Amino acid sequence: MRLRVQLVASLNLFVSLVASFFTTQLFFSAKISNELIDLTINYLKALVPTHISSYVTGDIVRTAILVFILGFTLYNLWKGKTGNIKNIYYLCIIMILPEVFAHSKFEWLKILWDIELYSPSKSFTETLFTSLVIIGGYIFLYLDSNFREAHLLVRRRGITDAEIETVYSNQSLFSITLVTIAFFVILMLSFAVQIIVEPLHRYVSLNNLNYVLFGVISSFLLASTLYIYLREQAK
Amino acid sequence: MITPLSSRLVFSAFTFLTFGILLGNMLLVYMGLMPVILLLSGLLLQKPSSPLGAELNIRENHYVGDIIRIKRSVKVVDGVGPVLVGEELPRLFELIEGSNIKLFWKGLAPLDAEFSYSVRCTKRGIYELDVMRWETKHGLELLESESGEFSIKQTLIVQTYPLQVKKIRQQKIFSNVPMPSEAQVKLGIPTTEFKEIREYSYGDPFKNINWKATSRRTYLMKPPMVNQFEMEGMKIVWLFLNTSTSMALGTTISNSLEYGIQAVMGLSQFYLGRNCRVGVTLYDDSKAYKVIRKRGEDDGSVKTRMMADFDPKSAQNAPIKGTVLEPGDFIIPDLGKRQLYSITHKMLETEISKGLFNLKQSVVNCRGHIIGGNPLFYIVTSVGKANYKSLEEGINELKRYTTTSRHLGSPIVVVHIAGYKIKASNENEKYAAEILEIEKQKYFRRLRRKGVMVVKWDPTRYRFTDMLLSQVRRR
Repeated sequence: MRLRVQLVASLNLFVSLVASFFTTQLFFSAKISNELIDLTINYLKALVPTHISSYVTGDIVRTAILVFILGFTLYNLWKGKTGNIKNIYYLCIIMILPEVFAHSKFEWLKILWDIELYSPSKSFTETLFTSLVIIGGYIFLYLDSNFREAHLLVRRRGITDAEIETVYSNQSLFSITLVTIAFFVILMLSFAVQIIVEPLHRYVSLNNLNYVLFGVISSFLLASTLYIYLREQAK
Repeated sequence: MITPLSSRLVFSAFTFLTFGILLGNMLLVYMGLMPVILLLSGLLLQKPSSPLGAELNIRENHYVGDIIRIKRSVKVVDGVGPVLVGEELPRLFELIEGSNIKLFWKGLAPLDAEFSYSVRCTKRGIYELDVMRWETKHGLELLESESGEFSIKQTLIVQTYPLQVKKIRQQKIFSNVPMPSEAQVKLGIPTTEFKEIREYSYGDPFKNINWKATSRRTYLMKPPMVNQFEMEGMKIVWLFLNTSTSMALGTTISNSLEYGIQAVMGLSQFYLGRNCRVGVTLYDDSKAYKVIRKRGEDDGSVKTRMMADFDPKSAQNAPIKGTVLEPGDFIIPDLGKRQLYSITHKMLETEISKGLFNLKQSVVNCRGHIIGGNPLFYIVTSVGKANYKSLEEGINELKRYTTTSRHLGSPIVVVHIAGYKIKASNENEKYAAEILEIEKQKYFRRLRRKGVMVVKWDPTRYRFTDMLLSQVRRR
């Protein structure tokens, strides 16, 4: 059983490192982040005049950011509380947002204030994969920290460590299985949408009424879901 | 009902989807779908259903100090998630091995598990193991945990260890343990215990003729002499057990009362095994109530008046208000295994301050069963300054119903339990207990002067069996 617990711990580490690595990759590829890095280099050069080239300084700054993110991730993972897992998640989300927003179809900033957004530097599939890894990893880590905290309470009731380890490892493997299933379902869904989007677009654009129809159906579905959710909460 | 974790996932999904729709960003929509799909798949697999449990092979009767192995089985058919089962143990049971609370993982396959644990019964009593409690959780903790219980209805009777005194058939050994002096009724099955020699009367079997004694009287032309034997089960032994707070010296598990109960059980088995009728009375020497018999008043009237006069508010250690006082709070003498069962049951329920009357009052209450029987009385108590007067009064009352025989010894035996020695935990306390016991010697001397046999029992050094065997002497 110890082996399974070690496997779960290794999975935790792997997921966090992969999520952090992908986050960094996506962050460095975004144009806005490159501009931010250039600004930082210029500021540093003005502060401490050196003969080191901008290229090398850029590498140093990038490495420093990578080390910071990995260190931050490992520290929070080591702490292991749900609050710490949230910290990892927030950092990852903030860092990938520029690239994710670059894939938006409605440019509200341009419409309202005529501000130009950056064009995406990575493909849609690549960004989707990274985003899903981050969100899936976060959910897995969050569930896992939740299980750990629940088991701490159970331990106080006199349950042996061996039993807790059995249940914890099974729960973690169960959660990662479901997260993986959700990950692949969404990936397949995204591919399916890319295939059916053209014929669907053609069908929808035939009549203006269809927009209204879709809107009414969607609103009804959203409202009924909300109603079911609130009724469940009231129970 | 869903948990905060589920609400958080719903909120995340809602946020991503809203921003995705507003910005026309499919990446955010897909990110929002991730928690939705996880929630749906998680909720599709429900939490484990209510477990079914059963008890396995537990004997009902046990002795103090026994280690019981309790086995339980749990069966869960549906759902996925952790299952917690456990049962509450009686307060004075000591968990020796394993755990009475267990956590299982219910996977996709049905769960059919067994678990066991060992407990030590530290105190006599009747214990009920009524229910087993369970709690099930969702595999991802998306739903609130559910708890309940299933009935197991099991009774454990824990009694004190039986007295194991073997009969020693050696003529040169005799015992000082007194036996009741005479039988109450002359009919019954004769035992092999010799009572007396008397003249032959019509109907006596010839095999009982004592030819030696008869031959000595032949010149007087008198009828032959026959051996008379004791009749089976006609001798009476009354055991009085003090249940006052003075018997609470020690811990909950090991105190004077517990050893007193052990002594009563031991004596009951000893005398019932020798075909005596044994009766038991619980008394409380802290109860100061006295009944004075009026001229011409019979027993029934005394009891009625006693009940009417008894004021629970004013009496020290009075029973709880509303309790029906029964003057006959004793087990009338009887013999056989049924009587042993009755006494055992009574002893299992005995607690401190269980007795309603002091010794004298208790004797008065059961005097109807005493008169004419010339029984042997045992008073199991812890003699001390506080209760000596009450004890003396009780003994004086008892002496009214007994005849002392030089041959058979005293008919009243006081078993003194050295309570301070039970309480003593270190060397200094042991010395102090020794001094306190020495101080009690004057009371023992006074009791002996009254013709009472005093047996001092230090439970920390001797078992009750050893105490009885110490009375065995060589001729």
